Amino acid sequence: MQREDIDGVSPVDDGWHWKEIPPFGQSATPVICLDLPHANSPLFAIFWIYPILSAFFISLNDWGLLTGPGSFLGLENYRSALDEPLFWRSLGNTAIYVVIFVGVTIVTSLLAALFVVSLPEPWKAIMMTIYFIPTITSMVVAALVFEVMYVPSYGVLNYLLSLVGLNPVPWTTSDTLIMPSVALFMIWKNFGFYMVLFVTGLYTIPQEIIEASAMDGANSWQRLWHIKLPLLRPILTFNFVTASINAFQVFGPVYVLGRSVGGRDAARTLVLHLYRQAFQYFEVGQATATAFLLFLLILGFAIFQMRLLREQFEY
Amino acid sequence: MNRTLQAFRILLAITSAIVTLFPLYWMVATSFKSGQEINTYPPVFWPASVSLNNYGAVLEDLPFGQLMLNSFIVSSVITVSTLFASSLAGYVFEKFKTRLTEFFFWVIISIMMIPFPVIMLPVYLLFRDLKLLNSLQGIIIPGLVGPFAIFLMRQHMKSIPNELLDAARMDGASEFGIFLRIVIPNSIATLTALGIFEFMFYWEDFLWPLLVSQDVEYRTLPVGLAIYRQSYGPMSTNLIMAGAIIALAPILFLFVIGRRNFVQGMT
Repeated sequence: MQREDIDGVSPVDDGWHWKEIPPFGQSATPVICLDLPHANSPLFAIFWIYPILSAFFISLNDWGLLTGPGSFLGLENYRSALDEPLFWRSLGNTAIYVVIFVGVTIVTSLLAALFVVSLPEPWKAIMMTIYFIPTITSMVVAALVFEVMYVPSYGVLNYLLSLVGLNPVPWTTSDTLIMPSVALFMIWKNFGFYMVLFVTGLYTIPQEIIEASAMDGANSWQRLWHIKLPLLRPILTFNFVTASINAFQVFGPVYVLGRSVGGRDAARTLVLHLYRQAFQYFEVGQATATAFLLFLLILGFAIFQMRLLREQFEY
Repeated sequence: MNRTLQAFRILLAITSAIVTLFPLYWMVATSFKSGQEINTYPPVFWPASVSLNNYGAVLEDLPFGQLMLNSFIVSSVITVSTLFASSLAGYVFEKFKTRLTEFFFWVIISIMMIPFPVIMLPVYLLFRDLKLLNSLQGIIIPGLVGPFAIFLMRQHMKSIPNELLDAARMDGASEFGIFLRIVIPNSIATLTALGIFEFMFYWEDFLWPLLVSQDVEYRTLPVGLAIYRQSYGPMSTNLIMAGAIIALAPILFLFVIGRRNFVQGMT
Protein backbone atom coordinates (compact mmCIF):
# COMPACT_ATOMS: atom_id res chain seq x y z
CA MET A 1 0.00 0.00 0.00
CA GLN A 2 1.45 3.26 -1.05
CA ARG A 3 1.51 6.35 1.06
CA GLU A 4 -0.62 9.15 -0.27
CA ASP A 5 -1.10 12.69 0.81
CA ILE A 6 -4.50 13.88 1.86
CA ASP A 7 -4.64 16.50 -0.86
CA GLY A 8 -4.88 13.82 -3.48
CA VAL A 9 -1.39 13.97 -4.92
CA SER A 10 -0.18 10.46 -5.33
CA PRO A 11 3.58 9.95 -5.36
CA VAL A 12 3.25 7.60 -8.32
CA ASP A 13 1.20 9.29 -10.99
CA ASP A 14 -0.69 6.42 -12.52
CA GLY A 15 -2.73 8.67 -14.75
CA TRP A 16 -5.90 7.82 -12.89
CA HIS A 17 -6.38 10.86 -10.79
CA TRP A 18 -9.94 11.56 -9.90
CA LYS A 19 -9.40 15.03 -11.26
CA GLU A 20 -9.23 13.46 -14.67
CA ILE A 21 -12.45 11.55 -14.74
CA PRO A 22 -13.89 11.69 -18.22
CA PRO A 23 -17.09 13.71 -18.10
CA PHE A 24 -20.25 11.68 -18.21
CA GLY A 25 -23.82 12.81 -18.58
CA GLN A 26 -24.53 16.41 -17.91
CA SER A 27 -23.46 16.85 -14.39
CA ALA A 28 -20.07 16.81 -12.86
CA THR A 29 -21.36 16.11 -9.39
CA PRO A 30 -19.12 13.08 -8.95
CA VAL A 31 -16.12 15.20 -9.75
CA ILE A 32 -16.76 17.63 -6.97
CA CYS A 33 -17.56 14.94 -4.49
CA LEU A 34 -14.48 13.00 -5.39
CA ASP A 35 -12.61 16.23 -5.11
CA LEU A 36 -13.45 16.46 -1.44
CA PRO A 37 -10.02 15.46 -0.12
CA HIS A 38 -8.47 17.69 -2.74
CA ALA A 39 -9.20 20.53 -0.37
CA ASN A 40 -5.66 21.72 -0.27
CA SER A 41 -6.28 25.39 -0.83
CA PRO A 42 -6.34 27.32 2.42
CA LEU A 43 -9.33 29.24 1.14
CA PHE A 44 -11.35 26.09 0.83
CA ALA A 45 -10.33 24.94 4.27
CA ILE A 46 -11.46 28.20 5.86
CA PHE A 47 -14.84 28.40 4.19
CA TRP A 48 -15.63 24.81 4.58
CA ILE A 49 -15.60 25.49 8.27
CA TYR A 50 -17.43 28.79 8.24
CA PRO A 51 -21.08 27.69 7.70
CA ILE A 52 -20.96 25.30 10.60
CA LEU A 53 -19.69 27.92 13.01
CA SER A 54 -23.11 28.87 14.31
CA ALA A 55 -23.97 25.23 14.91
CA PHE A 56 -20.62 24.79 16.56
CA PHE A 57 -21.23 27.79 18.81
CA ILE A 58 -24.56 26.40 19.97
CA SER A 59 -22.95 23.06 20.66
CA LEU A 60 -20.56 24.73 23.09
CA ASN A 61 -23.34 26.14 25.23
CA ASP A 62 -25.98 24.87 27.56
CA TRP A 63 -28.75 25.75 25.13
CA GLY A 64 -32.36 24.93 25.91
CA LEU A 65 -35.00 24.75 23.21
CA LEU A 66 -37.33 26.99 25.18
CA THR A 67 -34.89 28.76 27.49
CA GLY A 68 -32.28 29.77 24.91
CA PRO A 69 -28.56 30.10 25.59
CA GLY A 70 -27.45 29.34 29.12
CA SER A 71 -23.93 29.07 30.39
CA PHE A 72 -20.90 28.42 28.24
CA LEU A 73 -19.85 24.82 28.62
CA GLY A 74 -16.95 24.36 26.25
CA LEU A 75 -16.77 20.78 25.14
CA GLU A 76 -18.95 19.56 27.97
CA ASN A 77 -21.87 18.84 25.59
CA TYR A 78 -19.66 16.57 23.54
CA ARG A 79 -18.52 14.70 26.60
CA SER A 80 -22.04 14.19 27.87
CA ALA A 81 -23.26 13.27 24.38
CA LEU A 82 -20.60 10.60 24.23
CA ASP A 83 -21.32 9.50 27.79
CA GLU A 84 -24.93 8.75 27.01
CA PRO A 85 -25.55 5.03 26.43
CA LEU A 86 -28.31 5.95 23.98
CA PHE A 87 -25.75 7.66 21.75
CA TRP A 88 -23.87 4.39 21.40
CA ARG A 89 -27.10 2.48 20.90
CA SER A 90 -28.05 4.89 18.10
CA LEU A 91 -24.58 4.69 16.62
CA GLY A 92 -24.80 0.91 16.63
CA ASN A 93 -28.20 0.93 14.94
CA THR A 94 -27.00 3.45 12.39
CA ALA A 95 -23.89 1.37 11.72
CA ILE A 96 -25.94 -1.80 11.11
CA TYR A 97 -28.11 0.16 8.72
CA VAL A 98 -25.17 1.76 6.89
CA VAL A 99 -23.34 -1.52 6.41
CA ILE A 100 -26.36 -3.42 5.11
CA PHE A 101 -27.77 -0.59 3.04
CA VAL A 102 -24.53 0.50 1.41
CA GLY A 103 -23.18 -3.00 0.80
CA VAL A 104 -26.32 -4.53 -0.65
CA THR A 105 -27.33 -1.43 -2.59
CA ILE A 106 -23.97 -1.15 -4.35
CA VAL A 107 -23.86 -4.84 -5.26
CA THR A 108 -27.51 -4.93 -6.36
CA SER A 109 -27.31 -1.77 -8.41
CA LEU A 110 -24.06 -2.84 -10.08
CA LEU A 111 -25.55 -6.22 -10.98
CA ALA A 112 -28.73 -4.55 -12.21
CA ALA A 113 -26.66 -2.15 -14.35
CA LEU A 114 -24.60 -4.95 -15.87
CA PHE A 115 -27.79 -6.89 -16.52
CA VAL A 116 -29.65 -3.98 -18.06
CA VAL A 117 -26.76 -3.07 -20.35
CA SER A 118 -26.54 -6.65 -21.63
CA LEU A 119 -30.20 -6.69 -22.68
CA PRO A 120 -31.40 -6.12 -26.26
CA GLU A 121 -33.03 -2.78 -26.99
CA PRO A 122 -36.71 -2.75 -26.13
CA TRP A 123 -36.00 -4.68 -22.92
CA LYS A 124 -33.16 -2.39 -21.92
CA ALA A 125 -35.33 0.73 -21.77
CA ILE A 126 -38.24 -1.10 -20.16
CA MET A 127 -36.13 -2.66 -17.42
CA MET A 128 -34.31 0.57 -16.67
CA THR A 129 -37.63 2.35 -16.21
CA ILE A 130 -39.00 -0.42 -13.99
CA TYR A 131 -35.91 -0.48 -11.77
CA PHE A 132 -36.06 3.28 -11.53
CA ILE A 133 -39.70 3.53 -10.45
CA PRO A 134 -39.07 2.82 -6.72
CA THR A 135 -36.68 5.79 -6.68
CA ILE A 136 -39.43 8.20 -7.61
CA THR A 137 -41.98 6.91 -5.10
CA SER A 138 -41.93 9.25 -2.18
CA MET A 139 -40.24 7.88 0.92
CA VAL A 140 -43.06 8.14 3.45
CA VAL A 141 -45.58 6.69 1.00
CA ALA A 142 -43.36 3.72 0.17
CA ALA A 143 -42.50 3.19 3.84
CA LEU A 144 -46.22 2.97 4.65
CA VAL A 145 -46.61 0.21 2.03
CA PHE A 146 -43.68 -1.71 3.46
CA GLU A 147 -45.11 -1.30 6.94
CA VAL A 148 -48.26 -3.02 5.72
CA MET A 149 -46.34 -5.78 3.95
CA TYR A 150 -44.04 -6.34 6.94
CA VAL A 151 -46.84 -7.01 9.46
CA PRO A 152 -45.73 -10.31 11.04
CA SER A 153 -49.13 -11.92 11.68
CA TYR A 154 -51.02 -11.31 8.45
CA GLY A 155 -48.55 -9.40 6.26
CA VAL A 156 -48.08 -10.49 2.69
CA LEU A 157 -44.31 -11.03 2.97
CA ASN A 158 -44.67 -13.68 5.65
CA TYR A 159 -47.48 -15.26 3.65
CA LEU A 160 -45.19 -15.51 0.61
CA LEU A 161 -42.46 -16.99 2.82
CA SER A 162 -44.91 -19.58 4.14
CA LEU A 163 -45.71 -20.58 0.56
CA VAL A 164 -42.10 -21.66 0.08
CA GLY A 165 -42.10 -23.35 3.47
CA LEU A 166 -40.25 -20.74 5.52
CA ASN A 167 -41.10 -19.59 9.02
CA PRO A 168 -42.62 -16.16 9.51
CA VAL A 169 -40.11 -13.38 10.14
CA PRO A 170 -40.86 -10.70 12.78
CA TRP A 171 -39.76 -7.93 10.40
CA THR A 172 -40.61 -4.74 12.23
CA THR A 173 -41.45 -6.09 15.67
CA SER A 174 -38.10 -7.63 16.52
CA ASP A 175 -35.38 -5.51 18.07
CA THR A 176 -32.67 -7.20 16.02
CA LEU A 177 -34.49 -7.24 12.70
CA ILE A 178 -35.87 -3.72 12.62
CA MET A 179 -32.74 -2.08 11.21
CA PRO A 180 -32.22 -4.78 8.53
CA SER A 181 -35.91 -4.43 7.60
CA VAL A 182 -35.55 -0.67 7.27
CA ALA A 183 -32.41 -1.24 5.19
CA LEU A 184 -34.23 -3.72 2.95
CA PHE A 185 -36.91 -1.13 2.29
CA MET A 186 -34.39 1.57 1.46
CA ILE A 187 -32.42 -0.81 -0.78
CA TRP A 188 -35.60 -1.44 -2.75
CA LYS A 189 -36.24 2.27 -2.95
CA ASN A 190 -32.75 3.38 -3.97
CA PHE A 191 -30.99 0.69 -6.01
CA GLY A 192 -32.45 2.09 -9.23
CA PHE A 193 -30.84 5.45 -8.64
CA TYR A 194 -27.36 3.99 -8.24
CA MET A 195 -28.03 1.63 -11.14
CA VAL A 196 -28.59 4.58 -13.47
CA LEU A 197 -25.24 6.03 -12.43
CA PHE A 198 -23.52 2.70 -13.06
CA VAL A 199 -25.19 2.42 -16.46
CA THR A 200 -23.92 5.87 -17.45
CA GLY A 201 -20.48 4.79 -16.30
CA LEU A 202 -20.61 1.56 -18.28
CA TYR A 203 -21.49 3.51 -21.42
CA THR A 204 -18.36 5.63 -21.08
CA ILE A 205 -16.13 2.54 -21.30
CA PRO A 206 -14.78 2.49 -24.85
CA GLN A 207 -16.07 -0.54 -26.72
CA GLU A 208 -12.62 -1.12 -28.23
CA ILE A 209 -11.16 -1.96 -24.86
CA ILE A 210 -13.80 -4.62 -24.25
CA GLU A 211 -13.33 -6.05 -27.74
CA ALA A 212 -9.56 -6.03 -27.46
CA SER A 213 -9.70 -7.95 -24.19
CA ALA A 214 -12.14 -10.45 -25.67
CA MET A 215 -9.70 -10.93 -28.52
CA ASP A 216 -6.94 -11.58 -26.00
CA GLY A 217 -9.08 -14.37 -24.61
CA ALA A 218 -10.43 -12.77 -21.45
CA ASN A 219 -13.64 -14.39 -20.31
CA SER A 220 -16.56 -12.28 -19.14
CA TRP A 221 -15.63 -12.64 -15.47
CA GLN A 222 -12.08 -11.43 -16.16
CA ARG A 223 -13.43 -8.58 -18.25
CA LEU A 224 -15.65 -7.51 -15.39
CA TRP A 225 -13.01 -7.78 -12.69
CA HIS A 226 -9.95 -6.47 -14.54
CA ILE A 227 -11.41 -3.98 -16.99
CA LYS A 228 -14.92 -2.81 -16.23
CA LEU A 229 -14.59 -2.44 -12.46
CA PRO A 230 -11.31 -0.49 -12.56
CA LEU A 231 -12.77 1.80 -15.21
CA LEU A 232 -15.92 2.23 -13.14
CA ARG A 233 -13.85 3.16 -10.13
CA PRO A 234 -14.77 6.87 -10.10
CA ILE A 235 -18.47 6.07 -10.17
CA LEU A 236 -18.07 3.20 -7.75
CA THR A 237 -16.40 5.61 -5.36
CA PHE A 238 -19.08 8.21 -5.90
CA ASN A 239 -21.86 5.69 -5.28
CA PHE A 240 -20.19 4.34 -2.18
CA VAL A 241 -19.64 7.79 -0.72
CA THR A 242 -23.09 9.17 -1.61
CA ALA A 243 -24.85 6.07 -0.34
CA SER A 244 -22.99 6.18 2.97
CA ILE A 245 -23.48 9.92 3.45
CA ASN A 246 -27.22 9.44 2.97
CA ALA A 247 -27.35 6.27 5.03
CA PHE A 248 -25.72 7.88 8.06
CA GLN A 249 -28.49 10.48 8.09
CA VAL A 250 -31.38 8.01 7.97
CA PHE A 251 -34.45 9.41 9.70
CA GLY A 252 -37.74 9.17 7.79
CA PRO A 253 -37.78 5.40 7.29
CA VAL A 254 -37.09 4.66 10.96
CA TYR A 255 -39.62 7.28 11.98
CA VAL A 256 -42.31 5.47 9.99
CA LEU A 257 -41.26 1.81 10.23
CA GLY A 258 -39.82 1.87 13.74
CA ARG A 259 -43.12 2.46 15.47
CA SER A 260 -44.22 -1.12 15.95
CA VAL A 261 -40.89 -2.37 17.29
CA GLY A 262 -40.95 -3.66 20.87
CA GLY A 263 -37.83 -2.04 22.29
CA ARG A 264 -38.34 1.68 21.98
CA ASP A 265 -34.73 2.37 21.13
CA ALA A 266 -34.19 -0.51 18.73
CA ALA A 267 -34.88 1.78 15.79
CA ARG A 268 -33.15 4.83 17.20
CA THR A 269 -30.64 6.19 14.73
CA LEU A 270 -28.30 9.11 15.27
CA VAL A 271 -30.58 11.66 13.62
CA LEU A 272 -33.60 10.30 15.48
CA HIS A 273 -31.52 10.49 18.65
CA LEU A 274 -30.66 14.14 18.16
CA TYR A 275 -34.23 14.88 17.06
CA ARG A 276 -35.47 13.52 20.38
CA GLN A 277 -32.74 15.27 22.33
CA ALA A 278 -33.87 18.55 20.87
CA PHE A 279 -37.64 18.14 20.78
CA GLN A 280 -38.37 15.86 23.71
CA TYR A 281 -35.66 16.87 26.15
CA PHE A 282 -35.19 20.38 24.77
CA GLU A 283 -31.41 20.06 24.91
CA VAL A 284 -30.46 21.86 21.74
CA GLY A 285 -26.84 22.31 22.75
CA GLN A 286 -26.34 18.63 23.25
CA ALA A 287 -28.35 17.74 20.14
CA THR A 288 -26.15 20.02 18.05
CA ALA A 289 -23.08 18.45 19.58
CA THR A 290 -24.47 15.08 18.49
CA ALA A 291 -25.11 16.45 15.00
CA PHE A 292 -21.55 17.63 14.92
CA LEU A 293 -20.24 14.24 15.95
CA LEU A 294 -22.36 12.75 13.16
CA PHE A 295 -20.82 15.19 10.71
CA LEU A 296 -17.29 14.24 11.76
CA LEU A 297 -18.22 10.58 11.49
CA ILE A 298 -19.60 11.05 7.96
CA LEU A 299 -16.60 13.11 6.91
CA GLY A 300 -14.11 10.63 8.28
CA PHE A 301 -15.93 7.72 6.73
CA ALA A 302 -16.15 9.43 3.34
CA ILE A 303 -12.45 10.25 3.27
CA PHE A 304 -11.59 6.75 4.42
CA GLN A 305 -13.72 5.24 1.65
CA MET A 306 -12.24 7.44 -1.02
CA ARG A 307 -8.69 6.57 -0.05
CA LEU A 308 -9.49 2.91 0.21
CA LEU A 309 -11.22 2.78 -3.16
CA ARG A 310 -8.42 4.66 -4.81
CA GLU A 311 -5.91 2.12 -3.73
CA GLN A 312 -8.09 -0.86 -4.43
CA PHE A 313 -7.89 -1.05 -8.19
CA GLU A 314 -4.45 0.37 -8.83
CA TYR A 315 -3.06 -1.11 -12.00
CA MET B 1 -26.75 -22.25 -25.97
CA ASN B 2 -27.29 -18.63 -26.94
CA ARG B 3 -31.03 -19.18 -27.04
CA THR B 4 -31.15 -20.64 -23.55
CA LEU B 5 -29.08 -17.72 -22.31
CA GLN B 6 -31.50 -15.35 -23.96
CA ALA B 7 -34.50 -17.11 -22.44
CA PHE B 8 -32.81 -17.06 -19.04
CA ARG B 9 -32.23 -13.32 -19.33
CA ILE B 10 -35.84 -12.62 -20.24
CA LEU B 11 -36.96 -14.79 -17.35
CA LEU B 12 -34.66 -12.92 -14.98
CA ALA B 13 -35.96 -9.62 -16.32
CA ILE B 14 -39.57 -10.60 -15.71
CA THR B 15 -38.91 -12.01 -12.24
CA SER B 16 -36.95 -8.95 -11.13
CA ALA B 17 -39.63 -6.67 -12.56
CA ILE B 18 -42.30 -8.48 -10.53
CA VAL B 19 -40.24 -8.22 -7.34
CA THR B 20 -39.52 -4.53 -7.96
CA LEU B 21 -43.09 -3.59 -8.74
CA PHE B 22 -44.78 -5.80 -6.14
CA PRO B 23 -44.95 -3.15 -3.37
CA LEU B 24 -46.66 -0.78 -5.80
CA TYR B 25 -49.10 -3.49 -6.83
CA TRP B 26 -49.79 -4.14 -3.17
CA MET B 27 -50.47 -0.48 -2.61
CA VAL B 28 -53.02 -0.39 -5.42
CA ALA B 29 -54.67 -3.68 -4.39
CA THR B 30 -54.91 -2.65 -0.74
CA SER B 31 -56.38 0.71 -1.60
CA PHE B 32 -59.38 -1.05 -3.18
CA LYS B 33 -59.96 -3.48 -0.32
CA SER B 34 -62.85 -3.34 2.07
CA GLY B 35 -62.36 -3.10 5.83
CA GLN B 36 -62.75 -6.88 6.28
CA GLU B 37 -60.21 -7.74 3.61
CA ILE B 38 -57.20 -5.87 4.95
CA ASN B 39 -56.37 -7.95 8.02
CA THR B 40 -57.26 -11.46 6.85
CA TYR B 41 -54.87 -14.37 6.55
CA PRO B 42 -53.99 -15.50 3.95
CA PRO B 43 -53.93 -11.98 2.57
CA VAL B 44 -56.31 -11.02 -0.21
CA PHE B 45 -54.33 -10.45 -3.40
CA TRP B 46 -57.13 -8.77 -5.25
CA PRO B 47 -60.29 -7.43 -3.61
CA ALA B 48 -63.59 -9.16 -4.34
CA SER B 49 -65.08 -5.94 -5.55
CA VAL B 50 -63.11 -2.92 -6.69
CA SER B 51 -64.55 0.20 -5.18
CA LEU B 52 -63.36 3.74 -4.84
CA ASN B 53 -64.93 4.09 -1.38
CA ASN B 54 -61.55 4.33 0.36
CA TYR B 55 -60.53 7.22 -1.84
CA GLY B 56 -63.66 9.10 -0.94
CA ALA B 57 -63.21 8.27 2.74
CA VAL B 58 -59.59 9.37 2.95
CA LEU B 59 -60.38 12.57 1.11
CA GLU B 60 -63.04 13.30 3.70
CA ASP B 61 -61.06 12.15 6.72
CA LEU B 62 -57.81 13.92 6.12
CA PRO B 63 -57.89 17.49 4.97
CA PHE B 64 -56.42 15.99 1.87
CA GLY B 65 -57.04 18.91 -0.40
CA GLN B 66 -55.19 21.11 2.08
CA LEU B 67 -52.22 18.74 2.36
CA MET B 68 -52.04 18.36 -1.39
CA LEU B 69 -52.25 22.10 -1.92
CA ASN B 70 -49.53 22.71 0.69
CA SER B 71 -47.21 20.17 -0.90
CA PHE B 72 -47.91 21.65 -4.28
CA ILE B 73 -47.25 25.22 -3.14
CA VAL B 74 -44.06 24.24 -1.31
CA SER B 75 -42.65 22.20 -4.19
CA SER B 76 -43.53 24.61 -6.97
CA VAL B 77 -42.45 27.80 -5.23
CA ILE B 78 -39.13 26.18 -4.36
CA THR B 79 -38.71 24.80 -7.88
CA VAL B 80 -39.44 28.09 -9.63
CA SER B 81 -37.25 30.08 -7.28
CA THR B 82 -34.41 27.58 -7.50
CA LEU B 83 -34.50 27.55 -11.28
CA PHE B 84 -34.41 31.33 -11.49
CA ALA B 85 -31.78 31.93 -8.83
CA SER B 86 -29.48 29.08 -9.74
CA SER B 87 -29.47 29.77 -13.46
CA LEU B 88 -28.63 33.41 -12.79
CA ALA B 89 -26.01 32.53 -10.19
CA GLY B 90 -24.52 29.75 -12.28
CA TYR B 91 -24.29 32.08 -15.27
CA VAL B 92 -22.52 34.80 -13.31
CA PHE B 93 -20.19 32.38 -11.55
CA GLU B 94 -19.12 30.87 -14.86
CA LYS B 95 -19.06 33.82 -17.26
CA PHE B 96 -18.04 36.74 -15.02
CA LYS B 97 -15.25 35.22 -13.00
CA THR B 98 -13.42 37.44 -10.59
CA ARG B 99 -11.54 36.55 -7.44
CA LEU B 100 -14.59 37.58 -5.47
CA THR B 101 -17.09 35.43 -7.38
CA GLU B 102 -14.74 32.47 -7.22
CA PHE B 103 -14.51 33.03 -3.49
CA PHE B 104 -18.29 33.03 -3.11
CA PHE B 105 -18.57 29.97 -5.26
CA TRP B 106 -16.28 28.09 -2.93
CA VAL B 107 -18.33 29.23 0.02
CA ILE B 108 -21.44 27.80 -1.64
CA ILE B 109 -19.74 24.54 -2.53
CA SER B 110 -18.54 24.22 1.03
CA ILE B 111 -22.10 24.48 2.29
CA MET B 112 -23.00 21.54 0.07
CA MET B 113 -20.77 19.28 2.16
CA ILE B 114 -22.58 19.85 5.41
CA PRO B 115 -25.23 17.34 6.36
CA PHE B 116 -28.65 18.82 7.02
CA PRO B 117 -28.95 17.64 10.66
CA VAL B 118 -26.02 19.89 11.58
CA ILE B 119 -27.67 23.12 10.47
CA MET B 120 -31.22 21.98 11.20
CA LEU B 121 -31.37 23.12 14.82
CA PRO B 122 -29.76 26.57 14.38
CA VAL B 123 -32.16 27.25 11.50
CA TYR B 124 -35.06 26.03 13.61
CA LEU B 125 -34.14 28.42 16.44
CA LEU B 126 -33.70 31.27 14.00
CA PHE B 127 -37.09 30.62 12.44
CA ARG B 128 -38.73 30.48 15.83
CA ASP B 129 -37.35 33.92 16.61
CA LEU B 130 -38.56 35.16 13.24
CA LYS B 131 -42.03 33.67 13.92
CA LEU B 132 -41.74 31.52 10.80
CA LEU B 133 -42.52 28.21 12.47
CA ASN B 134 -45.87 26.65 11.73
CA SER B 135 -46.23 28.38 8.39
CA LEU B 136 -45.68 27.45 4.77
CA GLN B 137 -43.07 30.19 4.48
CA GLY B 138 -41.05 28.39 7.14
CA ILE B 139 -41.05 25.20 5.10
CA ILE B 140 -40.27 26.99 1.86
CA ILE B 141 -37.56 29.51 2.73
CA PRO B 142 -34.63 27.15 3.44
CA GLY B 143 -35.22 25.50 0.07
CA LEU B 144 -35.48 28.63 -2.05
CA VAL B 145 -32.02 28.25 -3.43
CA GLY B 146 -29.66 25.37 -2.93
CA PRO B 147 -25.93 24.95 -3.43
CA PHE B 148 -26.41 21.82 -5.51
CA ALA B 149 -28.60 23.66 -8.04
CA ILE B 150 -26.09 26.51 -8.36
CA PHE B 151 -23.30 24.03 -8.83
CA LEU B 152 -25.23 22.13 -11.50
CA MET B 153 -26.12 25.30 -13.40
CA ARG B 154 -22.54 26.54 -13.30
CA GLN B 155 -21.36 23.25 -14.79
CA HIS B 156 -24.00 23.64 -17.48
CA MET B 157 -22.96 27.21 -18.32
CA LYS B 158 -19.54 25.91 -19.36
CA SER B 159 -21.28 24.42 -22.42
CA ILE B 160 -22.47 27.83 -23.66
CA PRO B 161 -19.72 29.31 -25.87
CA ASN B 162 -18.43 32.77 -24.99
CA GLU B 163 -18.40 33.69 -28.68
CA LEU B 164 -22.18 33.47 -28.72
CA LEU B 165 -22.45 35.92 -25.84
CA ASP B 166 -19.88 38.26 -27.37
CA ALA B 167 -21.73 38.26 -30.68
CA ALA B 168 -24.91 39.31 -28.90
CA ARG B 169 -23.00 42.06 -27.09
CA MET B 170 -21.68 43.34 -30.43
CA ASP B 171 -25.27 43.46 -31.65
CA GLY B 172 -26.08 45.71 -28.73
CA ALA B 173 -28.04 43.33 -26.52
CA SER B 174 -28.21 44.25 -22.84
CA GLU B 175 -26.64 41.90 -20.31
CA PHE B 176 -29.98 40.85 -18.92
CA GLY B 177 -31.33 40.51 -22.46
CA ILE B 178 -28.47 38.14 -23.25
CA PHE B 179 -29.33 36.09 -20.20
CA LEU B 180 -33.03 35.95 -21.05
CA ARG B 181 -32.86 35.48 -24.81
CA ILE B 182 -29.68 33.48 -25.30
CA VAL B 183 -28.63 31.74 -22.10
CA ILE B 184 -32.06 30.56 -20.94
CA PRO B 185 -33.20 29.11 -24.30
CA ASN B 186 -29.92 27.21 -24.42
CA SER B 187 -30.46 25.79 -20.95
CA ILE B 188 -33.95 24.32 -21.29
CA ALA B 189 -32.87 20.67 -21.05
CA THR B 190 -30.80 21.18 -17.90
CA LEU B 191 -33.46 23.41 -16.35
CA THR B 192 -36.15 20.80 -16.98
CA ALA B 193 -34.06 18.08 -15.39
CA LEU B 194 -33.20 20.26 -12.41
CA GLY B 195 -36.80 21.37 -12.07
CA ILE B 196 -38.15 17.83 -11.97
CA PHE B 197 -35.47 16.84 -9.51
CA GLU B 198 -36.19 19.76 -7.19
CA PHE B 199 -39.94 19.26 -7.35
CA MET B 200 -39.61 15.59 -6.53
CA PHE B 201 -37.13 16.21 -3.74
CA TYR B 202 -39.36 18.70 -1.94
CA TRP B 203 -42.50 16.70 -2.63
CA GLU B 204 -41.07 13.90 -0.52
CA ASP B 205 -39.00 15.94 1.93
CA PHE B 206 -39.90 14.88 5.43
CA LEU B 207 -37.65 15.97 8.29
CA TRP B 208 -37.79 19.74 7.87
CA PRO B 209 -41.57 20.00 7.21
CA LEU B 210 -42.09 17.73 10.21
CA LEU B 211 -40.16 20.13 12.43
CA VAL B 212 -41.81 23.26 11.11
CA SER B 213 -45.48 22.30 10.85
CA GLN B 214 -47.28 21.71 14.10
CA ASP B 215 -50.81 22.34 12.85
CA VAL B 216 -52.46 20.26 10.21
CA GLU B 217 -53.15 23.20 7.92
CA TYR B 218 -49.42 23.73 7.41
CA ARG B 219 -48.44 20.11 6.89
CA THR B 220 -47.24 18.67 3.63
CA LEU B 221 -48.46 15.34 2.30
CA PRO B 222 -45.70 13.07 3.67
CA VAL B 223 -46.00 14.59 7.14
CA GLY B 224 -49.80 14.48 7.04
CA LEU B 225 -49.83 10.84 5.96
CA ALA B 226 -47.27 9.74 8.55
CA ILE B 227 -49.16 11.44 11.36
CA TYR B 228 -52.52 10.14 10.12
CA ARG B 229 -51.06 6.63 10.17
CA GLN B 230 -49.79 7.18 13.69
CA SER B 231 -53.17 8.20 15.05
CA TYR B 232 -55.35 5.62 13.31
CA GLY B 233 -53.33 2.40 13.51
CA PRO B 234 -53.67 -0.78 11.44
CA MET B 235 -57.42 -0.54 10.92
CA SER B 236 -56.98 2.21 8.36
CA THR B 237 -54.50 0.43 6.08
CA ASN B 238 -56.75 0.57 3.03
CA LEU B 239 -57.41 4.26 3.56
CA ILE B 240 -53.72 4.98 4.00
CA MET B 241 -52.93 3.19 0.76
CA ALA B 242 -55.58 5.17 -1.08
CA GLY B 243 -54.00 8.34 0.31
CA ALA B 244 -50.56 7.08 -0.68
CA ILE B 245 -51.67 6.61 -4.27
CA ILE B 246 -53.14 10.09 -4.38
CA ALA B 247 -49.84 11.42 -3.01
CA LEU B 248 -47.85 9.47 -5.57
CA ALA B 249 -49.93 10.40 -8.60
CA PRO B 250 -48.38 13.83 -9.36
CA ILE B 251 -44.85 12.44 -9.20
CA LEU B 252 -45.70 9.47 -11.41
CA PHE B 253 -47.32 11.86 -13.85
CA LEU B 254 -44.20 14.03 -13.83
CA PHE B 255 -42.05 10.95 -14.37
CA VAL B 256 -44.10 9.79 -17.33
CA ILE B 257 -43.97 13.13 -19.13
CA GLY B 258 -40.33 13.83 -18.39
CA ARG B 259 -38.74 10.39 -18.24
CA ARG B 260 -35.83 11.20 -20.52
CA ASN B 261 -34.93 14.43 -18.77
CA PHE B 262 -35.46 12.78 -15.45
CA VAL B 263 -32.86 10.07 -15.81
CA GLN B 264 -30.51 12.58 -17.40
CA GLY B 265 -31.03 14.94 -14.51
CA MET B 266 -30.25 12.30 -11.96
CA THR B 267 -26.93 11.41 -13.52
